[in-house]
Amino acid sequence: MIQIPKPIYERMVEHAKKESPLECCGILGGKDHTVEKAFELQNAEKSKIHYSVAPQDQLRVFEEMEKESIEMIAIYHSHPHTIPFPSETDVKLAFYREVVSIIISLKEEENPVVKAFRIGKEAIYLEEIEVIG
Amino acid sequence: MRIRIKLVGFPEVERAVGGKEIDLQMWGRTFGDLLQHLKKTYGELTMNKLHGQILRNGKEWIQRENLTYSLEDGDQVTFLQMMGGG
Repeated sequence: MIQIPKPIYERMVEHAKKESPLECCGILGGKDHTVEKAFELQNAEKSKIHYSVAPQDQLRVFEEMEKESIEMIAIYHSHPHTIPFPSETDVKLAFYREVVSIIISLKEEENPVVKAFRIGKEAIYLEEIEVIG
Repeated sequence: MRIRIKLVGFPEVERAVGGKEIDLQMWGRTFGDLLQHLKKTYGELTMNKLHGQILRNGKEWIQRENLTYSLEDGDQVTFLQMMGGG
């Protein structure tokens, strides 16, 4: 389970809408299972079907989290045209298996759907999202 | 030469070397020398798990095959796991 404060949850969805039709991506930092801060990142691929983060941007966010004594607890990205379920590429590139993967689907433009997963080596597990505050 | 190693996204390697940062003293002046030093100290098996991207001082991108890439005393070399998907 992951707890996300409502303003952060809403900002994450707004980020996805703002970047659409391209995929957006970001990191959620916090403690235990509770998100405290969102870091919007640039999709270095500027693609409708892929995302990646420039290592310099990634390192900057990790250093900022270190300073604030929080840890990466989730990575989020959007699926502008497909369902909120990890794609083949998501599974292949799931190197951060200890953190939650959040997908914001904009398939139904007026009704974004946000789902969280843990992508294991052998299976994908659905994680509950609790929007708090 | 003193080098600080920083690991981002390699929990297995972090457990093996005892943390996310290593301060080391090594002979040589190149990235290849650093890799050799790490392999000798922590084992080839552990170091082969560092398959992500490599940055010098948070800015310059080091290509893994560029073994003659020059390092300087006090440099920070970060091994960073790739973040991406589709």
